[in-house]
Order: sequence, then C-alpha cells, then structure tokens
Amino acid sequence: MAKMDNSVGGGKRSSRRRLILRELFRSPLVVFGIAVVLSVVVIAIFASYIAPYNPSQINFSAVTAPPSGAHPFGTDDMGRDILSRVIYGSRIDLMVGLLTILGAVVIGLPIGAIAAYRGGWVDEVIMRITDMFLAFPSLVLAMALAAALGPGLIHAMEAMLITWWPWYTRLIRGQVLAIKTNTYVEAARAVGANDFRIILRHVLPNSLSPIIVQGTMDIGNAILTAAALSFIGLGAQPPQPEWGAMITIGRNYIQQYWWMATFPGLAILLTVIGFNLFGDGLRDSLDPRLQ
Amino acid sequence: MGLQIYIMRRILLVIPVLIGMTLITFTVSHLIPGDPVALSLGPHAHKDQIVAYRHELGLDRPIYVQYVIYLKDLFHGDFGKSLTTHRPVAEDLREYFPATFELTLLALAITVFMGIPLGIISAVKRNQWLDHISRIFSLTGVSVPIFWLGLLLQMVISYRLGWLPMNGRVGAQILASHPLHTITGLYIFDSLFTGNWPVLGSSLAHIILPAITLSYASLAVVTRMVRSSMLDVMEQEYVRTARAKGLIESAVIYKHALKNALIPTVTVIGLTFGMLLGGAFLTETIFSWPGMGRYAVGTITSLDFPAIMGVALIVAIAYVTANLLVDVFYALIDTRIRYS
Amino acid sequence: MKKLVVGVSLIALLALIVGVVGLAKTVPNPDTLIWAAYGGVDTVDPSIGYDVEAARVVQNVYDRLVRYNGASTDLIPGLATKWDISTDGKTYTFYLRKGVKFHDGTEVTAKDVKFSFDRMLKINKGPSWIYTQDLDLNSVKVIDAYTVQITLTHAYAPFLYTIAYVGGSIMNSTLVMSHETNGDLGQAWLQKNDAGSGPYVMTQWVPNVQVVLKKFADYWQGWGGKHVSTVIIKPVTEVSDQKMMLQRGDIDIAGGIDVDQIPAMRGKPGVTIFKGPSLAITYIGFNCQKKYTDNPLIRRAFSYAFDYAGVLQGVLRGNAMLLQGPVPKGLWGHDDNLFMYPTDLKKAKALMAAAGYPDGGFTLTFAYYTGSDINRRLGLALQAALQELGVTLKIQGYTHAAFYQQVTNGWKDAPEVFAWGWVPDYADPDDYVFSMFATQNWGTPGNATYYSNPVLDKALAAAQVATDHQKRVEFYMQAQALIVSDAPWIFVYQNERFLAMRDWVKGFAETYNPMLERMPNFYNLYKEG
Repeated sequence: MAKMDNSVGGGKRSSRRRLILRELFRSPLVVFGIAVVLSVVVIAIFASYIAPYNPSQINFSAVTAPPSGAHPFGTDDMGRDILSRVIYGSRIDLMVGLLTILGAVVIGLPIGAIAAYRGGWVDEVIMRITDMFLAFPSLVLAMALAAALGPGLIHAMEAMLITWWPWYTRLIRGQVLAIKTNTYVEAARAVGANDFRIILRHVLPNSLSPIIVQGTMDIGNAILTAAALSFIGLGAQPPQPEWGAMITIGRNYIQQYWWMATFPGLAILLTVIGFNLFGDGLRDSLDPRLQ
Repeated sequence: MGLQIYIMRRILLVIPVLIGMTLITFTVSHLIPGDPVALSLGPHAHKDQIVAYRHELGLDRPIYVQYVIYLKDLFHGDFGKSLTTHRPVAEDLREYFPATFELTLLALAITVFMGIPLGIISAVKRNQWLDHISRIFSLTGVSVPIFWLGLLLQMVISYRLGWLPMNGRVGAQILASHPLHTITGLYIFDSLFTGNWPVLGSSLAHIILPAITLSYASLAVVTRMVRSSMLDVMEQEYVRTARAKGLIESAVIYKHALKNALIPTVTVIGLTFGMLLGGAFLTETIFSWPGMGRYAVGTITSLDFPAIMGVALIVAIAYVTANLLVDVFYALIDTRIRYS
Repeated sequence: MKKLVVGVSLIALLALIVGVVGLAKTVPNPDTLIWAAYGGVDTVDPSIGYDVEAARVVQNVYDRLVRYNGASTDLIPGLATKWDISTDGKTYTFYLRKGVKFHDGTEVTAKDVKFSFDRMLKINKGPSWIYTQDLDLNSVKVIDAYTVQITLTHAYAPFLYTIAYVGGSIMNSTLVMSHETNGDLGQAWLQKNDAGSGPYVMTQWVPNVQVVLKKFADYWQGWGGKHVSTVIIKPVTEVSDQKMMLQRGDIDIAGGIDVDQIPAMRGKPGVTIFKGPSLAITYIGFNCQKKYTDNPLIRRAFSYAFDYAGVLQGVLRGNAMLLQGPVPKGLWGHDDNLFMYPTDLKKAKALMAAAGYPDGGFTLTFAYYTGSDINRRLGLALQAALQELGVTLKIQGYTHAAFYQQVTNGWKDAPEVFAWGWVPDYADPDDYVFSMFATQNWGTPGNATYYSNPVLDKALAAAQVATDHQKRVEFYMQAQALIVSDAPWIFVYQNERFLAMRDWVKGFAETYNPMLERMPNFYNLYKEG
C-alpha cells in the first residue's frame, strides 16, 4: 500500500510541497491574509493575557466612553471595554467558524464519498436530499432553524451545520467521482481491497485539497452567517462578546457612539478578509492547472 | 428530442424537491418551542380562549394530519392564516413579495451589469492597478457583514451627507398625497405605468441605498467568477491558437474568452440570486423596507409558523425557479451538457 | 428608451433636490403630522387589535361611550352624554349623544353599541379578556335608539374604565355587517377598513409602509381651533433611524425612542423632548415555586443585592424612577410610604446565610425578550450583583413567542428569573395587583412569577366588588405591603414617558394622558413654527 501511495503523490511529494509553499507566499496579498489569520488565532489563544480588562466587567460610571488611552476602542452601553470584548470575541467567532466547517466536512465527507462510490439508488437518494436543503438560500434556512431550536450560539451553530453539510457532500461526491475511475483506484480494487479501505486510503487523500480550499474560505462565510444570526437575535447570548452581537447592540447608538458598532464590524471584516485571502492563496497553489 | 427532454426532466425533478421543502419547513416550524397562539391572543388570554383558537386553527390535531391538510390547502393556494397579522398568509405574501422582488431585481441588475465588466477589466488588466482595485473591492464585498455595511452607508450617505432618504420604500407624504394604483406591486413599474411621477422619483431615491447594500456581496462573487473564468479560458489552447493566427488581442478576448467565461458565470448568477434573497432579510431590516424579509424576521420572532413556512416556501420556489431557468439557459448555450 | 432613462434620472435628481431643500424649510407641511411607530399596523379591527400599533389607529378612528378627561384619568362623556349606575353596582344605563355621525353618514345609535360589545365577545380575541370578566351576550340591552343598558354578571368596580379603553370602541353595525363574509362578523373587511365615528378617517393602509388618517369633516366635536388634517403613521423599526429621521425633519414624532436613548436627542436643533408621567412599569420577576427562588429569604437577598442606583444612572440614564411597589406613582392606590429595598450587600449576604447559602453556589437562568435592549442590560446588572453572593446567573434571550411560552407555560419549565413589564389597560390598581399577583392568574403573562398568597387573594377579591372607593384604597395598600415583603419581584423602575418630537409639534404636552401614553388623540395636536 505504501508503495501505491507514493505513486499517487507522483513520487516527488516533498518537492511538490515546497512548490506549494513557494506559490503560497509569492503574492503579498496572500501573505497578508495568512498574517491576519495567524494574528487572530494568536489573539484568540492568548486573549486573557492580551485583553486589558475583563470583557464582562460592568462599569456604570464609564458607560459609552469614547476611545481614549484607558479604553482605546471606547466602552459600550454597560461600561465594558470594547477592545477587550473584541479580543475575547475572536475566540467565539473563530470557534464558530472552525467548528461549523469542520462539522460540515465531518458529516459531508462520508455521505458524499458513499454517494459517489456506491452510485445507483444510494447516490440518487442522497443527492435528492441535498437538493432539498440546497433549495433554500442558506441564510434563510439557518434563520428558520435557529429560531426553531431557540436562540443561542450552540443552536445557531447547529442550524448552520444543517445548512452547510449538503454543500460539502456534493463537493466531495464530485471529487470522488472524478478520482474513482483513476487507474490506481481500479488497481486497488483489482488487488481486492474492500470499498471502505479504498475510500479511506486512496480516494479521500486525493480529494482533500479542494475541500481544504473551500473550507478555508467558508470559515469566513460561517463567521458572517453567525454574525447575521446574532444580529437578528438568534445567536450569541449576553454577555458573550460575539462580534455580530456587539454590532447589534451598537446599531442603536451608531449615530452618537460610533465606536460601539465600528470596531467589532472591522474585526469581522478583517478576519473574513484574512480567511478569504488565505483560501485564495491555497487554491492558487494547490490548483494543479496553475502549476 | 434532446433539449426538450432535458428540460422536461429538469422540471420534473423540481417536484420532489418542492415536496421535500414543504416537509422541511413544516418540520422546522413545528419544532419551534413556544406558544404562538397564546402570543397572538395577547397577555390576558384565558386558557379556554387559547384552546378554542388552537382548535379553530386545527393545531390540536395530530401532526401528520396537519401536514396533509397543509399540503391540500397549499394546492389551492392557501398558505394558512398568519398568527401575527391575522390575515391569510397568501395575502401577506402578495403584499410583501413585490417589494422584495423589486429590490432583489435591481440588486441583481447591479450585480450583472457591474460585475461582468469589472471582472473582464480585472482579467484583461491582470496584476495591474485596476485589477488590484477591483480585487480589493470584491474581496471586501465577500467579507463585509451586510448589515454593518448597510448601517454605515445609511449613516454616512443619508444622515451625514443627506443625499438619499434614510429608509422605507417611498416618501410618506408623497404616497399620502399621490396614492399609487397597484398593478404589479413593483412601485417603480407601477408608478411609471400610471404616470405617477412623484412616487416614481421617490421610489427610485429610496431604493438606491438598499439595492447597493444588497448587491455588494453578490457583485463581488460575480466579479471574481468572471475574472477567474476569463483567466482560465484565456489560458486555454484554442485561445492560444487564435492568438497564433494573428488576431488582435481585444478580439481574442471578446470573441472567445468572454463567450466561454459567461457559461460558468450564468450558473453563479443563479446561485447569487439565493444570496440576494437571504441578504434581503438583513437589508430590509436595516432599511425598514416593507418586504418579505422584514415580514419574515417579524414572524420568526413571533413564531408565526404558517407565515414562516409561507416565506420559506416562496423564497425556495423563487430560488429553485431561478436555478431552473439558469440550467435551461445553460443547456441552450452549451451543447456539451445537453444530454447528461 | 434612452429618453425614458434620461427622464427617469431627471425625476430622481429632482426628487433628491426637493428632498434636500425640504430640510431647510421651517414648518414643512403644517397640516400633516408624521408619527414614526416602532412596528407596523397589522389590523385596525377594534375587537381584535390589541397591540399599541393597532390601538393608536383605533383610538383616533373610533369613539367610545366614555373617555378620559384631557390629561387626567377621570372619565367624562364620550358618545354617551350621561349614565346611571344602579345601587348594587351591576346595571349601567347610558344615554347616547344624538346626531353623531359615523364616517359614512349614518347616525350612531343604541344598536351599534350592542353590536360592538356582542361582536367582541363573540370573536373572543385580543382585548376581549377585559370584558369577558363581567359581560356576556345578554349584558347589553337596547332600550330605545338612544338608550343602552349594560348589566354586569357581577359587580365590578373598574367597569367604566374598561370601556374607555379602545376595546370599547363603537362600530357602525350596518356597515360592518354589509361586509360580512362566511359569518366572520366582518373581520376580513374591518381589518383594513374603518367603521368609526372618530375625528379621523383611515384613507390609506399599506401594510408595513404607512397608515394615513384624514380628518372627518362631520366629527361631532367639530374642527374649531387648531388641528392637523392628515396624520401619517409610519413604521420605522430601527431606533437609530428614528433618531436620525427626526433630526432630518423626515418625521414629526419619534414614537419608538426608549428612555435610554433620550439623552442622545437632547439639545439637537429643532428637537424637543416631552417628559410626562407614565404608568408603565418594568420588573425582574422570580419564579416563586422553583427551587431557590421559592425562598423569600433568597428573593429578599437578591432585592438587596441589586444595584438600583447604577441601573438608574447607567442603563436608564436617569430618565426613570425606581418602582415603589406594584402600583405606580400617579395611579390612585399608590402608597408613597411603601418600603423600597435599598442596595445593601451586607444585608443580602446575611439573608443568604439565613437561607442556608452563605456562599451561594448555585446557578439560575435569567430570561428576557430580545426585543428589549433595556431588559438585556437589567440581566447583566443582576448577573454582576449575584456574583457578589456567589450565585451564577445565566442570561438567555428569547424571541417574543418563545419568551411567552417560557414564562407562562407552567412553573416547572419556567426560568427562575426574568425581566418583564406591564402597561395598564384601564386606570385601576386592579389591573396591576390582581392581574399580576392573584393565584387565579397563575401562568398568565400577568402572574408569571407563580406567586400565591391566600391572604392577598382574599383582599383582592374584596377590592373588586367593593363600591366604596376609600375601602378599595385600603385593600390595595394592604395588598402591596404583603407583596413587597414577599419580594416576588425586584421592583426596578417606573417609566417616565419621554417622547422626542420636532419643536413645531404643539398641543402634545397640554393634553398628554398617561392612560393613552403611546396612543394620543391626534385631534389635540397641530403644527406651528
């Protein structure tokens, strides 16, 4: 088996990897994207060390204070430090983005692979089910589901997961369909390896790169959707410093206390741009046609 | 044979999807915890009053019976009665759908008529400053929370600069003094058709900001799509051949690359229609736009499930129809996929 | 085609210029008043509409037998010129004003009164709960064309107040019944049409866009003095929009700006802030049956821990007053000497120790309705206060319907703590104390705390049937003392009514009535530079 893997990679896997990396860092925009993503990850991990205040600390004597030395991003309507909340918010938004996409891949991967590999009625049924889900604009379906499950971050994530998995199921199905007829798969089958093993060892590893690309870009989408759900009141619950929820609070005050909605909005914008650029870069470097 | 059969098959395939959709919306709306009936009757409703109203609405029957009844009514164009507006949902939708449709249509127009040229420019001037600007523009588009963008635009353009109305669909006094005779429910069309110029001017001024807000994300997607498919096609063999034959550069671009790049773009436009419908929910909330999205947000918070299902169904039908049209169009322009 | 496009753009440009120039004028459209509402008007049927958006239209399109006297909560004749009450307090005889016209020109007579009450009882939705307490289909009798007799099923002191509410609106029976379909008593038609005799006629109803009211030339009070001929009610759901539109002069009155937003509007050119008393109250309720919050010691401890001053300043921006007991200031029956819990952490800790939880160590859930930004912050404030007692408070927002369900569907599944408010339907302490603390009202949005006290129940029942006013006052004072010491609520605040409006709107302050705080009589308003 190991031998076969080598032949799949083309026998020069390490040089390919180097090529990918070189490609990835060639564009300054992509480098910027990677830097943003890395920074957000670092900020999220070390939030408790970086944030100057406790993000939930109420201070009635410093309500809606404008940006200053003590509070670089100002304070909100409960006197909480917005910079600290934005910093802690990175944890929530990053987690929502990562977990949603990871969950969608975990669900979509086996289902899509089985659909493609088995074909026939199994494929037909699975595809019709995904059709039904994909017939709804995802935000509309997520809203209805989140409302049904009850407001809260976890429920919002569940709702997003339900709307997202069919996309990955289809993506993976397409990949597997393309690879399944390749000679090395045929060869493995001829050798007598069972289906499960073939999918696991041969088909999946070779369909991963488009999933990684799609997933990276989708993290941004998931963050945006979660923020939208919070905006309608179906997402994060107080005092969670989720960025979308912070914009929601700030929108009532946008005219006097502009900082309340502006900074969390910028945080979302920057983070999502980061993931999009990162995903762009990955696609360009993983896409064999451009090499 | 061929094409007609493909189109028939494609239309027939929509039916199980539609039935599935009713199943999903029905399940979802009945999962909802909460007592919409009690809510709709107000804070003092007695228990017997609630029981009576539940009975009137048929909510005391087994769930599968409710579903069958729902489907049967749906067949007759009856979406049930809204618990918040106390009106037939179909009537509400007739009222609110045109507003959303008008907004979405204009946003779609902006998306197509700006997105395609931008994408072409970007591809032709690859890695030049025009390309960079257009890429940053579209990158921001897919990364910005739409509701945040709407708030900022409204704040700057309407409030600070005073260039455009804040919100709503038409000026209050203009509509009060020049009542609009409704034909389609699309204010721009109706006022144009009946010669109601004050309402036309006011509607146009009111729709600009929400349409821009709504279209930005899909505009970005289309721009990127056109750019990358143009680049793909330009790399391809026959373009090189055409070039080798000595055709001048711009002719190559327009004749070959653009034509081929438009095929995937058409598909993307079908998909962005769904994005626009979803985005309309947020845009309408920000701009107090009296459309289906705002109706939906209101009904979601009131757990008004006949209304939620009605909205979800209409949105899904619009979306499925759009994609059906796209597929048919696709089949017409691309013979290669006709028989698959 | 090209010409058309040019034409359209020119018109758009013109509209823009007109719009921008319009801002500079002093009193634009002096005869039109634009009220920005928070939500849309779903129905204008007096028997069904029970939210404030509906009530605002009904109030101005219809008349009632009795009405509030200007700014006071006393009742004066409306469609009835006078009335007699039998000694047992059960029979009311109303004598109708002659010559009052409905908007279609027919005269208001006794059969319309009977029709209106019977219709509401039959439909049995919206405001009908108020009337089913003491009326049935045999109650209203037509004596002659101008005399109506209403016999209550039992003596009920607040009756007259209940018919001053919009639910007691008198409808044009002939007109309504001529639009009846499938025995719906004209519901489909009346939802978007008017059948009233009030000062304004509803001429336009575009859902979620606007409602237009135009003056009714034959209104029985006449049109002497200053009035506006057109009122436009326009839903603007974003608070920030209402603020900006008011400053631009797009709207005359911003009806959706809550107290916490008022400071932002102070001193803005062209904007005045009306301030008046309000009978709306906001409280934090405890589930009095569930573990922990069933213990009055713990409830009292929480009441002592709450940061009243901080909330008053930080959340309400000083634009409200602390709530003293369940009956608000300004309504008869309020007790000026009633005990108010101060913030006293020592006492709170002592009470927790007495309850057996000196270090807290338990978790409670706080529920609020996500439409209310103030209630969210009350939760945050309580969360901070309870932290001091070692109690964890989990905050959970719910959509409107889900919140209802959560707090009213039996105490077992209800959250331990929640924030809610109350707006009166009729000017009687009965609508506060009985509605919200009687065991009989368990699981209604009134008594969502599942509070029960037999001594209290007895006092409240006695107060309902007593005909002597002083006696009733005493009953209610006694009741309030009982309630406060049991602390089923944290008594948070009583609203003061703030309304931001353009300075050219006149007549509001002089005629403001706290019973009609969000549905003023537009007849009293006019615009002047």
